[in-house]
Amino acid sequence: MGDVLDIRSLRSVDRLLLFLLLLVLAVVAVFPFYWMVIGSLMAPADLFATVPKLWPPDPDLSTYRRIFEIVPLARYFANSLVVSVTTTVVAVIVASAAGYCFARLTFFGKGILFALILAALMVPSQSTIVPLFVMFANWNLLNSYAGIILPGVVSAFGVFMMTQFFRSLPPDMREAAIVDGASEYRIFARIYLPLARPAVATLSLFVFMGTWDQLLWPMIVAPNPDMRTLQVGLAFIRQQAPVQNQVMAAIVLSVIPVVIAFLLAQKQFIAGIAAGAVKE
Amino acid sequence: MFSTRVIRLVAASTAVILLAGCGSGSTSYTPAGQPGQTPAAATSGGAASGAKVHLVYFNARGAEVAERKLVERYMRDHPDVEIEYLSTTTLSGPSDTDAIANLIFNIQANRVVDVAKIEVSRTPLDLMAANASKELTAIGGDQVKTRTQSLLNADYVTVNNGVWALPYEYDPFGYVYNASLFKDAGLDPDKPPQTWAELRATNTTLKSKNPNVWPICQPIKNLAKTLPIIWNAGGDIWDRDVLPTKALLVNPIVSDTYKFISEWSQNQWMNTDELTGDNITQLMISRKCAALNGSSNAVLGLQNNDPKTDWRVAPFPSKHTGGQPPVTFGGGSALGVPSTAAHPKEAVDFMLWLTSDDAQRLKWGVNKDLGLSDDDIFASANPVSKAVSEDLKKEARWKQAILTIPSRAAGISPAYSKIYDVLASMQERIIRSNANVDEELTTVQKQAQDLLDQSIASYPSLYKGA
Amino acid sequence: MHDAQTTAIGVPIGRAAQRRGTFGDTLRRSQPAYVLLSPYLILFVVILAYPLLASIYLSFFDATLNRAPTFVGAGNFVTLFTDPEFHTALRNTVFFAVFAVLGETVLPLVMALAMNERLPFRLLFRTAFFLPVVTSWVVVSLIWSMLFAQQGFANSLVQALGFSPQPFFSNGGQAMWIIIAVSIWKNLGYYMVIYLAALQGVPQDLYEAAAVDGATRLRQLWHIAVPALRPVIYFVVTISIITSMQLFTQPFIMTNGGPLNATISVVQLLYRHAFVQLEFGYGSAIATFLLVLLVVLALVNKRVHDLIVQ
Repeated sequence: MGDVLDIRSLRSVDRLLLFLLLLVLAVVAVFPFYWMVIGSLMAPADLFATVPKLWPPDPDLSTYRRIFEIVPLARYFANSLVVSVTTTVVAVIVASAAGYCFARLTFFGKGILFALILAALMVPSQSTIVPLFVMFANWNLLNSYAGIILPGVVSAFGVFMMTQFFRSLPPDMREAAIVDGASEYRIFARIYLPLARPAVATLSLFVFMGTWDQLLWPMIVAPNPDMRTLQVGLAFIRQQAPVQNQVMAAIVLSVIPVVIAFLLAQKQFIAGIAAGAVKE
Repeated sequence: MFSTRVIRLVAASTAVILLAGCGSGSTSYTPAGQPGQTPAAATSGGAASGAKVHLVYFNARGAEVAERKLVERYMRDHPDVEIEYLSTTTLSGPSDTDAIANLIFNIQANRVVDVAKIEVSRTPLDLMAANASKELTAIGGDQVKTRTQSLLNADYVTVNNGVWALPYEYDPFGYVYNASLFKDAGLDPDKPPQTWAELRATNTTLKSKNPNVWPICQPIKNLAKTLPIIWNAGGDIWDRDVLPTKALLVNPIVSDTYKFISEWSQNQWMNTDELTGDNITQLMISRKCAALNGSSNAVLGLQNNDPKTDWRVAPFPSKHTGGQPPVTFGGGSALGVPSTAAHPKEAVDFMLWLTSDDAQRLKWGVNKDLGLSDDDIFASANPVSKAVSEDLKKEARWKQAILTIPSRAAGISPAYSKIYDVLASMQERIIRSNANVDEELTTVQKQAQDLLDQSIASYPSLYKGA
Repeated sequence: MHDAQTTAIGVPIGRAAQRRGTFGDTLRRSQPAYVLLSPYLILFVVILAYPLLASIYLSFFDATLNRAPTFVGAGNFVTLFTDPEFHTALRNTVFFAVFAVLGETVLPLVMALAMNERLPFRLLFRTAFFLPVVTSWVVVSLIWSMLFAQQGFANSLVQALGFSPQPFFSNGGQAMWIIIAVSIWKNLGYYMVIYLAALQGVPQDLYEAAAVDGATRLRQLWHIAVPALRPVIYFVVTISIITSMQLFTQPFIMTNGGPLNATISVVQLLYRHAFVQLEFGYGSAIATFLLVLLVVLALVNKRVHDLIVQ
């Protein structure tokens, strides 16, 4: 019995090696962010000195003051938030409904439609930008939240993922509900959707991060400076800030809220991803 | 429960989307430092308010803070005009071609754009060639012609008796150097190199004293910084400055120039990272670049961010001294009226104001009414108005920034953009992979001549008058 | 699960569906599905299908600013396949995809196996690994391009370790490896957590049985845990291939495709032709080609998976 217990866990040597590996990778993961923070506090002359400085010799917050003067970061952040949250909510609802259809219901044309939607995963967004722009221009959607949000609401990945998820849920609840005389909509809304929480969490995260990241489309569809999202704003800061400690300060300011949100929601966040993926 | 929450969320977001779709973002941004001005606020969605003319001003060329303050000033002085300010920026790299592309999508989609701020040497003729811009004297009459005579860079935009844009900002190139670094290396800071031989000597000295330093920095994939070196060696790459018909790349002076640049790269005197708008100041301040072949007004940003160092500008070294007086390339920006303009007359009025001495004095802080900070002023390069240029030179720091040697137009034609790309790529090959200069020139000569021939064939009337 | 009787897509054939009715009957029964599906379908057609079809249509034309498009048939594709820049872009993209997929599949797996072993500071590690995940690609590309500038921190480190300074972005090979590294770096945490969750579903008694047979922990992991993760590995590989082939942001912001086109990707080439040179037709041809390529890759991937699972 004693021998089996010893073999069941790792030898100390292996344990140490794995720990060191994780440690090194963790440092590599975090260091660039650390460098951004200390860099934003350094004067331009110290920033790229020949001997690397791991701590600002003369911490200086004036860079942050200057950033707030040049760019309305709060406004950009608010725009990003509105766009990302709305996109996420609508995309997830729409994809869930569609996913449920493909998973549980039979209807005419199902196979072809599903294949088409999967094929949509393979379309690079850059290829549809010009026709979309012309279309939105004709519909007067330029410089509006709707214009920025709409393309992001179509999530082929979302449909794919929700289909897989709903497929993994037992079908007998639906059959029982049908016998009870419930409509399909009721079955979806009252029975299956509540069960989909982990997948919804995962998908929400995915769509939110994807929308938050977007640079090309928001810049092209909304050239009005007041409608800029955070990423577009960062691109402008690169143009307006001659020295890189200002760019670093802007980056730090743009990353902090996301990191805080992540730290607060860490458990649900990761549980959501894990649960959603395990169902694959 | 879960579903009611979902329903409420859906309702809320639908409401948000509908509301958001109803109107564009109105100008609520007040630039810092602006003395309590509320701009003429009218949402463009419901602009049925009487005789107000609505202009769309699309800025594809930077200096955003100054432009917005000028827009507000114009609206304050002209209550019958309302200007919608839109802007874009370049996303990567040294060129701004993708910023211009954004403007062009709007034209392509038939969106109204009344005034566009664009690059001066390539874009006006690109737009003209695509029928995407309006000729200005046809709209503004003699006023336009007279104005161009008081502006620098006018030869970039006056082609075949037509004025296709008004120059707006002037950006000459020079040899920007770190005089403190020169002194530390034992070089005389008051005597920057004036000939190629002197430049070689300077670079060798700097490199031997500081192996980590790049004695000369210049954008790698670029033609505009190389042209003045060719000109000041007594050569040219085409037969004339405006609407050239022949590419003349296979000649000893052009060959010598590119071989000289290749020498910089082989001796590790030149930067190996590409220079982008946001790393030039950084490279100079951190003493990675000892000198820069670039915008002469970079010296202002350098002085502002590193006042302890002695920053100077001089004309870039010529091949030999004693030849013709040196010239430089004067880049910068211009204002044009796209073909989709709804109010061309008012657009030209606005442009005439922006290029007037009064507005240029505001933009460059000679008249401090706009309350612009130094960094904001420096983002605008130099004034294009000859009179305001003279005004500024009275200030010591500007005297350097406004290089006093004249600039010269560079092969202005509808083909220039494409030829620029071809030559810039060639320069990159020469610098990065030590390509054989003469072989490259022979290949590129054919490509450039083909492009010129295509241009001549496509626009016969343009070339007839020239 | 209860999916014993399913159609090809995995829809259970209930008693209702097995009734043979008229076509009108089928349509009527399909109604709730269509209603639930319609929001996505309408948006899909408007936002994705129509512009995509327009783009595919345009790839047979020569179209530029303010000029009526002229039909050139397969001309764009002929030019494309003989264009050396396109070959370079394709080669770069495939090279990137191979190593990025490799790194994104294997490294997070090893990390997940390690994290599963109840080592100290696990929560801290998990947070650290997730920091790159929640940052945007634009920010990440900016940070890394500053780190690897000639006089940036990376070179300082290299010199402090006694080596000569590296060219990094000035050298095509190194630039490409930096781009591969940043992509793997950003995705480490995401895939690790997926593996970790799946690992936690592996029943303990399998390990016990192997331990009784005399296997060390490492061997247990290799012979039991990894095979159990096969479906998850397939998922990671699929997603990784699809996103890697669409590489754009990293080379766009960090190197602009340089030096000398050493890092240009297919989507970047598309961008250059459509957005910068305003050759909308040619750009669309590149997009169409990429779409076809990805569809083929997805089919091949599925076939390989089916073969392995069999």
